[in-house]
Amino acid sequence: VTTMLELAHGALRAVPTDALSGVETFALVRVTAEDPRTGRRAWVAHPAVTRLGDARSEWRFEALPALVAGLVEVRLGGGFAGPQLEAHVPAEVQEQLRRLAPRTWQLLVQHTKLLQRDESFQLELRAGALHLRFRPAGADPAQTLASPLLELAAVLRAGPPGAPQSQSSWSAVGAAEARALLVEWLRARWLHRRLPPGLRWLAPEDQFALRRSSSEPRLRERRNGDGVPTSLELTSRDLTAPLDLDVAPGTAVPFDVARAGLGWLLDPSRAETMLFLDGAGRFPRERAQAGPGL
Amino acid sequence: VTESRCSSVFLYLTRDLGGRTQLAAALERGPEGELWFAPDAGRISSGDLRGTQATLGGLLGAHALEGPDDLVDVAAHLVELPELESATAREPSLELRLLGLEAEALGARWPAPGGGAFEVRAAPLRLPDGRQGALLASRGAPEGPWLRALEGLEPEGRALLELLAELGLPLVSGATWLERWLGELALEPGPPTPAEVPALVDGLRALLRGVLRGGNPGPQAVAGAELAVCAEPAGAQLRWRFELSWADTERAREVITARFAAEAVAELEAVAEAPHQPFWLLFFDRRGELGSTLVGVVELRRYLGENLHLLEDGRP
Repeated sequence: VTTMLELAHGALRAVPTDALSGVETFALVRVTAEDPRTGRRAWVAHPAVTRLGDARSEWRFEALPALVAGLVEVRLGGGFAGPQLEAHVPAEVQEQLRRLAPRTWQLLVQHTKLLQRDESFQLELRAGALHLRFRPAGADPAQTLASPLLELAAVLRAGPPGAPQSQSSWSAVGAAEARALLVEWLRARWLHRRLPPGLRWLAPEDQFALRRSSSEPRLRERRNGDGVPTSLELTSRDLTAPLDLDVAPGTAVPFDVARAGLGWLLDPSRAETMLFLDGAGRFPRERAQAGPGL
Repeated sequence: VTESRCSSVFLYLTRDLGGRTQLAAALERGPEGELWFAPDAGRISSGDLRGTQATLGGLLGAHALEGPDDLVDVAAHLVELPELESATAREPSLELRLLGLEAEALGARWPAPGGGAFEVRAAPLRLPDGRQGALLASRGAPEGPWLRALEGLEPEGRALLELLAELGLPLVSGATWLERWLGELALEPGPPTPAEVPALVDGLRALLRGVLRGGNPGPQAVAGAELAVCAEPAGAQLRWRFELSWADTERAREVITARFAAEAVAELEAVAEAPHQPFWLLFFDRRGELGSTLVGVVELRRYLGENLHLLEDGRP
């Protein structure tokens, strides 16, 4: 028999209790038992059902450490014949478990087959650089993805792009104007689909420029066969040679994820350093049938 | 890509007294036929404007255009950039409507941002139903107020605009018709002397204003001369007579103009002071046997929004 512990999308809750630490981590969970010989599944009966409303949903609001400790104990008590234990935990909940309930997290890592619930894209800013990881549904290890577009946005979030190798440095004004032009271009092309007033379209040169600038930065985009911009050529009076910037969204990165990531990276007021997105670029959340309104 | 699925940008261009091309109105007709006016800051989020010094209104409203690049730049801000998910090539059309302005050499196709190209077409603005018109730039427009005849305005209508120019709504920069006429008289022997000309011009203008407002001002004495201005119906038009008489000399000039409604002139003078609606259309209508008559004034963008289907449908 395999016992499956599933955690719902969303946030864990730290609820004050009389436990030693003073708080208990609660989560929305669903526990299912599957018999591999018959293939039949059953919701594991649970003594915590106290209200009639609770019985209507398979999801339960549980004190997670006690539940996990109990399931692991049953697993260990049964030896090799005992039930196999699978934990399906969404990536954003895994991240919270590490922080909020480290001992429970250790138990899950050591004694269960830990699997990703639904696919997830994890965008993380570490030391100003973007790390993009993808976890397919039901798989365990995360794949690292490359997205030059989002990596450039992360660089621009912190400051201007680096000067080309042929040039050791460029002026502060020229670099700031180049950064402003790139940020406006990313917003216009990926987020708003409208040119902002600050950008100027130079039709004869097929270039974007800033309406007011002293270093006159210019951008020319190169597109692939599908019309998606893959690289930019940045010229400026402060640069001795054009700067080539890769802006391909990345082969395995859905456009919606790229868009949501840009919306986060280009907004200086959004201070979070990590973002989890589903394939449609939304914050992962449990579907409507998720159960009791909490 | 068929034209009906692509948006069109309409730019209404005119020229101010200094000879600079001005954008009098801009609007976008979307793929479904919906109309958007510009400037309209609501189309672009505030986040988009952050960190830029120009506002969309500043970009599109009363914008002096130096060349075709500026026109394509304005148009590029009005159309949507292409969707990244679908690879359809866009051919948004850029329709230039000229208000008292000759077509300049302008390429027929210009690159559009994000791929594709603008189809550029230029044509004079023609009012439906054989109406004639003129453009008024109010005080809110660059170098306003001023007047400009639209293409197709008959000489009588143009002559009426020359008289309206005496009310402070110039057609061209420099001397007005009265100033030129009296200047010529001052060069001839006999009265007036050049020093008297400004007072005489002001006197004639005061009388002209009285007639244009529907009054019938009597003769007036200014700087030793008796001035009179009258307007008589002459067939389908109006015959104006400007008279200057001294003790021994008499000078007169006749002008044939289109008729006018006194309310229309009053309205025209009022809207010439409008600070926020820079451009207005003057309408000349034919009334039965009477020739074209100045009948009213309508704000340009409002008129375009309500009548774009009449103005633009059935065009090649």
